[in-house]
Amino acid sequence: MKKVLLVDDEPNILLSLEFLMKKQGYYVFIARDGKEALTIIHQENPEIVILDIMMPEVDGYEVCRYIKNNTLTQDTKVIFLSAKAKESEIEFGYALGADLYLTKPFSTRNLIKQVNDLLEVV
Amino acid sequence: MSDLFIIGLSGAYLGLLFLLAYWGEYRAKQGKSLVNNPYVYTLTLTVYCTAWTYYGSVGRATREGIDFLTIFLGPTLVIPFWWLLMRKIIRICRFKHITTIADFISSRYGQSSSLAGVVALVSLLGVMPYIALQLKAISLSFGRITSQSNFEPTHMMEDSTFLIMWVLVIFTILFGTQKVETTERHEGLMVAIAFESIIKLVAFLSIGVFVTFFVFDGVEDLFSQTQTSPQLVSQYTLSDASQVSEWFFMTVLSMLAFLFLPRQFQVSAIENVSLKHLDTAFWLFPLYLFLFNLFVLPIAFGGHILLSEQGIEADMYVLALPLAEGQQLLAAFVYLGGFSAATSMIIVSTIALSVMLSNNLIMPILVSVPILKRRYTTHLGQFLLFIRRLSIILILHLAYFYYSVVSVQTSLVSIGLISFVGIAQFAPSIIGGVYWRYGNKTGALWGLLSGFLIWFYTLVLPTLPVIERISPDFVERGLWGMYWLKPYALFGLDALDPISQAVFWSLLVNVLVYLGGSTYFVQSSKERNQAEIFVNIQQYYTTDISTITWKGTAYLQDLKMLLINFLGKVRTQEALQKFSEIYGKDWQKKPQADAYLISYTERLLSGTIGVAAARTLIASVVKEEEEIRIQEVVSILKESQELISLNKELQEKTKALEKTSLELQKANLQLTKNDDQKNEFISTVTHEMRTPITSIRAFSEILFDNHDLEVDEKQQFLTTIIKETNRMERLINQVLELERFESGTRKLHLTLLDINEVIQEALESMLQVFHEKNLCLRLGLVENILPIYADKDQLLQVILNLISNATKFAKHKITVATKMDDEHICISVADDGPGIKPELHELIFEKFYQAEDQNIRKPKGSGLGLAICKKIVQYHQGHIWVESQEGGYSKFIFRIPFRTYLKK
Amino acid sequence: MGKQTISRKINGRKILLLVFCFILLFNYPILGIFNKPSLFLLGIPLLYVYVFGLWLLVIVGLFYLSRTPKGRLK
Repeated sequence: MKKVLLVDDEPNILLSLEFLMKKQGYYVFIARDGKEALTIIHQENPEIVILDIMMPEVDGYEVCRYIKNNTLTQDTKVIFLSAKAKESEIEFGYALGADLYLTKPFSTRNLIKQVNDLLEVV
Repeated sequence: MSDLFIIGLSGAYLGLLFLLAYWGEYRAKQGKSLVNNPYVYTLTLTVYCTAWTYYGSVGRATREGIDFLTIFLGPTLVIPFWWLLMRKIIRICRFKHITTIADFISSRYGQSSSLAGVVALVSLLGVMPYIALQLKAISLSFGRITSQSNFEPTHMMEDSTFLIMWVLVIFTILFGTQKVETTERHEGLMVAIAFESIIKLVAFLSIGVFVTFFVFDGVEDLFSQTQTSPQLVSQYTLSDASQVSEWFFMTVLSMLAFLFLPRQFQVSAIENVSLKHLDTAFWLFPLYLFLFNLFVLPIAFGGHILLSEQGIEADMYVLALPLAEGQQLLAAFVYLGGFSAATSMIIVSTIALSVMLSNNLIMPILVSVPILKRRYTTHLGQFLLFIRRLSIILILHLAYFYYSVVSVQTSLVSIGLISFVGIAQFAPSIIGGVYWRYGNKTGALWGLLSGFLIWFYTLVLPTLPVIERISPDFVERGLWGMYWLKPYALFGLDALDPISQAVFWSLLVNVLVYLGGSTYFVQSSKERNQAEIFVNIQQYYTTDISTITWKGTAYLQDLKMLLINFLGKVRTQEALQKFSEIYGKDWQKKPQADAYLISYTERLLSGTIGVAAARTLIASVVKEEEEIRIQEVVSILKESQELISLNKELQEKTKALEKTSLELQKANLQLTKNDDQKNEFISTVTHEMRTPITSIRAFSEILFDNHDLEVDEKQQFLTTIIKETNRMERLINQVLELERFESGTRKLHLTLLDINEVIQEALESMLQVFHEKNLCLRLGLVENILPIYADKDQLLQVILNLISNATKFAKHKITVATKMDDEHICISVADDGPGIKPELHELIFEKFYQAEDQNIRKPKGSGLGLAICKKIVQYHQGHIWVESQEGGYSKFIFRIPFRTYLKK
Repeated sequence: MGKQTISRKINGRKILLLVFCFILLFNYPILGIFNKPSLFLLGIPLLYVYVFGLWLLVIVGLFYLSRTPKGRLK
């Protein structure tokens, strides 16, 4: 079972993501801020991280940077799921090595498709 | 009562005055001035109420009814104007070192010594009989209380009045001529005068109460008993046309007397410590006069009913009434009251007159006689003191002489009124001088002289016995039988009583000549300069700009010698030190003094020896470079004035420019800021909206795509959608609300409300939440809190918001408390939650994210609530802030003033 | 709120107006209204009551003017 980490500080969004990912048969981890996320990444080494940007303590950018700069985790896929929708912000996200940048509000079908594609689930 | 007792009593009372005066001086030296007090100041003003008031009012009320009141109504009615005028006069006196009314007038009109002399002379002539009147009152009251009704001393030394006069001479010399500089206040004297003012009022009130309520059975009883006397019944009203016009003229006359009598000028301007004291005198002085006059009519009518058949003159009813009723002690007290009224007037008038006599009449003559000047030049200060003491002795002896020779025939009242008319002649030149820049010396001098002439002819001449020898039947048929020169009906004006017609003619001619002379003749440059200062004293007073009236130079040594002669070494050192502070120390290097130092010296001397004498003295040491200096003075003055005004203009322009550029910068900054803020606001709002929309969309799609959901799952997702929709709605409302505050369209509906009640209301609606989260609520509300003036709904919103925030973070308990200080009310809401980082303390009240740290987020759910709270509190002119410790607590506090004024 | 001096609220013109009103009230013809020999109030001739009463009113007014924090005149 592939591991998915969901990071967001909005409980309702987490709830919806959790439902969607479980439905696809992934093993779901949940983090409410960047710090928590880093711990889970360290311990569980998930295949994919769906990451919000604006969070208390450690933000999404930091988490992405950590994943992509660390040899142990650099293969982990990163999807930014953020309300930040300016072009410059999206570019910045990709520059950090993110595999995908989606803006809120998002289409559930598209998100599922993108996650599946990234994890090459047939 | 025996002579000896009364003499002893008078002596003891004077002894008490000595002690009081010593005490006053002592306190002044210790720096704990008694005179620096608005009530003492007001009491000294009541030197206006003399023995004439004390005894004479009753006499006049008996003869003419309510007419006597005009003398006291005048000051009451004019006191607002007095307040206005005195603020100017006091400042001018301080600025110019002026010490007498003669100096004041002469200083305004180009330091003219002739004008000063005329004013001093007229003051002397006008006030001397008035002092005599006080002596007469002392003598009469002494005679009455010792029951020698036909008291007629055969020898000077037998007359107790003569003895009392000498005690007053010593008193006045002792406390009135300690220092040469008359700009210094006479603290000891003023303390004694204030004390006497209390005694005379209390004594008069006691006799009034005694007569009205003990001799008679109250006011009603007294007036019902007057019904039997036709003379008294006729006093109920003002009878004929002449009394009506007299009423008006007397009111005006007493207004002018109150403003310009030398003794009033002395106490209200020279002895004034602080302009603030005027504010108290503004109402307290009229109140004193009111109290003083309250019982005059009852005493007069009571006296007439009881005593008229015994042939006692009405002027002495005040004393005769307690005597007739056998109240010896009360009579003695009443005697002391009258004694106080007389002595206080004598002391203050003598001080004022002696300074005028020495500074404006004797000194100008002495310093212009070379032989005399040379002789006394080394100890002029001592010499001046000697002259001033001599003046005091001279004035009081002249008054005594007048009292014993002339005044025996005239009644108390007429002498006083004659004085008033003489003094009233100062009005045009003083009022004009202070408010009209174009009044000049020619107008003032000739106006004064013509006014005095008419006064002398119509009022003084008829009282002098000598006139009968020059022109028999002077009063009835006019001078040498010329009908139109009748003194009491000058130019055929016989509709008015003698005093009123004298007031009318003298003031009319005085004002016309003053205006005419000032318009027709040209002002000298020096006068123009002075006029500018007098009229615009407010500007000069604070700047202490010395005006240059001297061109040419003087040897420093000469000037120093002059100062040392008059002020003594110590004072001179101090004065020169002060000069250095203002103008720099360059003057010490040169042997010759410049125009500034000369002018400064002149002003210093003016305070000591008077304006005119100072001018003459300075002229003797200044080497004039040319014969005609006036033109140069004008040009120097003009230059400096132009320079000053040019400089001022430049400065003002520069300032204006700076201000404009600053304003532009600010406006620009504000615009940029506004723009940035707007952009940020929009992105913030859209960002905030994305979150609930995201959830709504996600769950809607889930529900749409998954038909096989469990019931409770479905239920949960739908609930979430509804919650998030509500959140959006709230957000939209908040944005709109903020916009209303920002654009100023939000109105406050202010009502008086009890903040505790508002808090209770808020708590009630939150009870459910408290219960659900198992939170403990603590209240710390101040009881009997003052109501505040605020918008109830909005305050409720703030409190609800804070409490609801607290419930989100609190672990166990929430504390709501109120506090109150003098002006504000404080409401605080505290929780024991995780606390807020210091860097967020400001940020949480902002509706925008800080630009420099984009990714620090406000705590979840705070939304725009706190930003709105802040706006509401600011609308109530209050302040909101947070005190917090991370991991400890958060306490939100807001403070608003009790009274909120609506913002535009 | 501190005590303010009178100067903040009255200017020259208003002072003159005040003095003028005072003089008007205390002189003919207004005084004539109360100058009636047969009229009494509380056993006191009406003229006396008017003059003293008005006098007291003026004092109260002056007191008020010198004390109130915000002047009524301005």
